[in-house]
Amino acid sequence: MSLLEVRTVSKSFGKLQAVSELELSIDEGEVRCIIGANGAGKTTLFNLISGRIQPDSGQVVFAGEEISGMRPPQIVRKGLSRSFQVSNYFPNLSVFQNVRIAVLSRMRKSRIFYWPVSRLRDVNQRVGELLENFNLLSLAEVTADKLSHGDRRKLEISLVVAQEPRMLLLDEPTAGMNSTETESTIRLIKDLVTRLGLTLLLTEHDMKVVFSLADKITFMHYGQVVCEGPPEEIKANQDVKEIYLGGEVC
Amino acid sequence: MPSKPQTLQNPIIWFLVSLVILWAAPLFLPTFYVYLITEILIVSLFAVSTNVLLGFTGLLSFGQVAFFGSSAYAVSLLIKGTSLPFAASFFISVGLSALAALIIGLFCMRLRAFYFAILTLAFSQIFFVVAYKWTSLTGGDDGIVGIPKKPFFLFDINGPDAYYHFVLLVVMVSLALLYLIIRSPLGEVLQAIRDNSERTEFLGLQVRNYRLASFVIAGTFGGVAGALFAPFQGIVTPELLHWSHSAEPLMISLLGGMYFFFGPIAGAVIFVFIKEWITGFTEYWMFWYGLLLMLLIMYLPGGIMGFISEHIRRGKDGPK
Repeated sequence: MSLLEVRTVSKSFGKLQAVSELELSIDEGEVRCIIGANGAGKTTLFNLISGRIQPDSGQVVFAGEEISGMRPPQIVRKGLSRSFQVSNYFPNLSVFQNVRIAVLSRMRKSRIFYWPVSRLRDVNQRVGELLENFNLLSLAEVTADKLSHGDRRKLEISLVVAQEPRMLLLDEPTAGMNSTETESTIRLIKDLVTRLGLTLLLTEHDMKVVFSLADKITFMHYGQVVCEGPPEEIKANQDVKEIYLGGEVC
Repeated sequence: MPSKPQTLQNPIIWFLVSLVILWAAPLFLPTFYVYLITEILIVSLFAVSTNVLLGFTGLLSFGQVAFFGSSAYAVSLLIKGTSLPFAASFFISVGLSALAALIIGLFCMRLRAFYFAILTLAFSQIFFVVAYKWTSLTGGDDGIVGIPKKPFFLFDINGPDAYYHFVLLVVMVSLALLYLIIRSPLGEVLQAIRDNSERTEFLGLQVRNYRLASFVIAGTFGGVAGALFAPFQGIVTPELLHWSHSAEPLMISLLGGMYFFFGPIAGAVIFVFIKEWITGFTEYWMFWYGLLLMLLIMYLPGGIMGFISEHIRRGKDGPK
């Protein structure tokens, strides 16, 4: 059964039709990759699903419940979390504190006002585990805006994972990473998905990443789905080759 | 990698040490300075409570004086107009401030940044006008005079030293509570909202509710400061509620360092001393204070505490 369904969703900004009558259906446990050139509407689609913007028409349904019209915190509480293409974190807080915000939210302890956060053992332990998983433990006390680009990306993803969602939306998780960082990040994502049985929707420009992760690929062009299918099929597809793989981007 | 001994990092030790020293202060200070420190304590609490919004939640409110002033008025009216014991008047006034903050906050939270600031200003102006025009209740322009210092429970707080000790205890307990709140999960979420409210929402937290909580906390403790202030001065006037008075805790926070819990306290010490010192020469102390503030903001953007912490860090990291 599909976990996420996007039903004839459209969104335009002024005269620009960013997403047009788009249909998308993602099964529980699936890893789906959306590819397409810059401006194809991938990030707009993510914004529509995650409640950052509202669709002009159409519906987004998650786990059988309509989530279009809900605000981001409600959608997150339903188990759908996203990362951002441009790292989006808390610049003046330490790496540890950054992740702790996500863990506090997840553990429903964010409203406690009568006890020091440093004394919440279960919360801090969980933050430590996450940082270790993401190889960020040695940077725990560093202020987030002092991090290197690659570490910022890792922090970005760790914030999403910390929420233990049912479904993850990762917007270009490896953007701007070098090849070792990319590799370790991909390994981490793969491991998470298999271990926790997560459903994953991601956009990515790096075709190596796409083909190594995705169960299924959706190809978007001008706000519409051109084709979708397993990686081999997409690789062989003539449209994709012309428009994307051989053409505008690679 | 703790570089300081454990005791220096323990805030409870700091709290107790400063409490003991300040408690003993009247033994070796002339009464004038006891007055001055009383004022510093009250101003500190007002500034720290305002800074919960400004420095720790990233909300600029020009309306904090509404809670300080209305509480000062409420306590004065209750002391003079009813036979309630002072403690009851005190807690009722603080409760009213909290309620006022909740109601005003519910309106203001709908707006962002600039509009929020202006709306808080508008609300505080309403309080000012009420105090100024409702003469039968508030005494209008003349205000309420001759507010006595009635006993607090069984404690006699009449007299400068006794009232100083009362203020000291209330302010220290309030500051300890505020410190705990800032260090709590809630306080950390407020700082996250200050840094990046959108991301906070995408971590599943309703930013508006947390901002409202912060507004109520600030209003409540602003109310505590106001309830201490009225018997201290013995008089309340509408001037107390004037919007320009709202700028005071903001300037004090900037001066001391708004990203530090103790910043506004450092700011308050300097603010009150400068005010006293410059008024000795000229009535236009605000001019000189403004000038000093301009220089400090230009050359010490992190405030006094920012400057100090920068130097400590440089001392640690730099070559030995």
